[in-house]
Amino acid sequence: MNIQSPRYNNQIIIQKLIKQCPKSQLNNFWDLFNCLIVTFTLSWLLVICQPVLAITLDPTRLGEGARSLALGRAAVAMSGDLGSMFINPALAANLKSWGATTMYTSLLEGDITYTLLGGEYKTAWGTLGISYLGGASFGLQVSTRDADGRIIFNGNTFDYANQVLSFLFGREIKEDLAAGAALKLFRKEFTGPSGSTGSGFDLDLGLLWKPRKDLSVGISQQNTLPSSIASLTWGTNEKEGIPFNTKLGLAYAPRDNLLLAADLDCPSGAFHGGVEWKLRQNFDLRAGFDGGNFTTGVGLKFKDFIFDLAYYIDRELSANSTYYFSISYLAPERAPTPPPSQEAKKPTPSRRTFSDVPPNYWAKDAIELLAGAGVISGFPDGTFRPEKGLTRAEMCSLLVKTRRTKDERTTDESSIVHPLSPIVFKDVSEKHWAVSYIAQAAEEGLVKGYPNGSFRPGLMLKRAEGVLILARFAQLKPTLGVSPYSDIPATHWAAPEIAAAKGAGLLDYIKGNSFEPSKDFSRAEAAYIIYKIGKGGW
Amino acid sequence: MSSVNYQGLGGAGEGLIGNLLGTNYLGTAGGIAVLWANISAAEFPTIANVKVDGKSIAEGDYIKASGTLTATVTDETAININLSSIEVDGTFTSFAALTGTSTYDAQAGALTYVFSGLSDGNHVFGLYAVNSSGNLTSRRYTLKVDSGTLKAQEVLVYPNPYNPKSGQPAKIAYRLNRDSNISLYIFDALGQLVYKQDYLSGSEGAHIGYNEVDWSGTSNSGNPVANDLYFLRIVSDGKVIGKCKIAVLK
Repeated sequence: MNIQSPRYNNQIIIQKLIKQCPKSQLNNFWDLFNCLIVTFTLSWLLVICQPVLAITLDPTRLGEGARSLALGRAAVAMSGDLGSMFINPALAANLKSWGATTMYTSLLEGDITYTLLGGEYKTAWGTLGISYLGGASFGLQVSTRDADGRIIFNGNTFDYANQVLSFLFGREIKEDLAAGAALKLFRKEFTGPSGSTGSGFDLDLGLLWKPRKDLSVGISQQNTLPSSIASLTWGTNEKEGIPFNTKLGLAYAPRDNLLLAADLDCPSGAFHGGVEWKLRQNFDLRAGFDGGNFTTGVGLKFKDFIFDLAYYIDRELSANSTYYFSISYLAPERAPTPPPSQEAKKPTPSRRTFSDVPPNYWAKDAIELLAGAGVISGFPDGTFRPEKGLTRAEMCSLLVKTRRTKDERTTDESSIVHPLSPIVFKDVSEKHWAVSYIAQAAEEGLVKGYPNGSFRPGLMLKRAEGVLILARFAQLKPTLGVSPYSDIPATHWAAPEIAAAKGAGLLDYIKGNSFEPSKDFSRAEAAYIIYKIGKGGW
Repeated sequence: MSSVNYQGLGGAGEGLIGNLLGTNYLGTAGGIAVLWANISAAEFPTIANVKVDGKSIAEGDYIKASGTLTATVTDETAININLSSIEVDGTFTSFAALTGTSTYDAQAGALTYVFSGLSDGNHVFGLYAVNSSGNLTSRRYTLKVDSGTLKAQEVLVYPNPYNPKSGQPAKIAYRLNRDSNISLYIFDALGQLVYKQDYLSGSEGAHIGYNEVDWSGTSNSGNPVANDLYFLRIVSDGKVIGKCKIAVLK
């Protein structure tokens, strides 16, 4: 059965999903779920039990960066955004080195301006961060009544300031799970003879779960503490609560150049969502939706500097539409410096030699290291037969074994998921030695059957087919409209993948400008390309 | 020789006091009151309830190009309707010469003066009331006609800072240059809408001239707002025509 036929049933879909979430990640999901339930319940109990107070405004709800603003204020699961780390402190755990960010905006036709300064630094214990967000407005007019009873300006003015200082800490608590906390100090002030100052503090808690490379799930409990502990107290003895808010967020990157992000606020139910499209390597386009208002923006990257611009469209009153600017610096990842003792313990890759692979053979390292790692194997007579062609079934076996070998480096054997219900092609019986490999490779889209429902497992692969399959396996982005070799025009059915493989340096063993697409794809070639995909880490 | 003493009570307008026809003039202007030594205040006519189209006016108010000025002009003895007059931009009309819908009812002291055809710009309105003793009281106002773009001027809140716990609403005042449907928006310091109120054209809050409306320091959902800075926007047809900042401090 072809996997794209209507008989591609739900079981296969579920099986695929399970496969994408290894067992350890499922455990983390339940850890996260339990954490969420406990934290959410405790926080809400505290909210319900606290006295009813007027609720002050938390200026961090403005957002802490133009990137997330352009995405409709969806920030809770936005890894890699310095400003968002102050919305969900768990995001800071993903910082590779250190960074600094600023943001500026002028709201309400310039009547109030906000400035953000923030910085984060990765340490051995986790990431530390500090940010200052300040708003100011000047020239508030004091009024009086004249002899006619009319309200008039009495000539005096006063000013307003609204500030929050945040200290954050975030770190990984499991491989795909991070947690963080941010202590926030609030200060508000009216100047002048009738003025007063209010101050208080509160605590944000955050979690981030990355079940897959392309998916992040986050939660941020903002202002978690009950008002009996944390509130804003004014010089007039007025006491105000700080708004409790739960933000649930999701960030999903279905493609390398596309990011979807969404947040949901509880209890307000406000939805924030946005999409980011990487138009070029250093240029992003963004659009979002923020609880009824639309947002848009761009991001520019120059070396390690990032410039973000967001435009917030206020549907209620167009005059309130405004811009947000951010400039950030993200330091390059520091090279890890393992302690000498750890360096000494680094295992030497094991090799397995073959009688027909001489010392000067062009693919010798690839063959011996992959064989030492158990990815490939030779024949009982001690030969590898490197120039022999590879069948379609052998290629499936090779790919699945390669995947498992890499997974074993980070997970235990029990976490490796085997097909529960192999896809059966009409010419691949359940007793075929490679049935499970073929099924898994087909499910992952690495190989496909023929329209008549056959797979032809014993058919020798041609070079064009072999390179195409391995390019898919390496998840290379096809390079369209390019003729990579003189005998592979841009219109060739495998040209995009061959061009991508060539661009990635996987085909550097082919000398000259002729690809010879109909030549048998040899075992040595397959070993060499897989070795290159693994970057020699075998 | 008969004489008329005069007294200005013009408020923001010019005020005069003295003998209109005699030689003992000690008049002054600009609201500085200098009393004629041998005249008591009770001997002067009273001008009160000066309104245009039913709304009290003050110096600098906007009025329509056509309208009706009303006032109460009374005296303990009698008003001399031949000497008493109303002035518009230097043209005087005695009470006795008022015709049509422009009248002076001596019994009620009710003055009604219908004007029309005023061009855009400033216009001086004067009221001069002379009693049978020859004493004069005057009031003068410079009023504006502006048929141009709608605007809200002198937007103020009283008191500022405002304490909702005082039990009194905050008063929001502004002057409009013409009648128009008006919406009042109040935003918090993050630009989020807190309160919105609509006023129909011609009603309090949406009529030409001085408007004064209330805000009790609550959101549209009725919750009291917190201590903070709030931003008032006066909006007509989606355009902001006036604004001010309101401090709430309990």
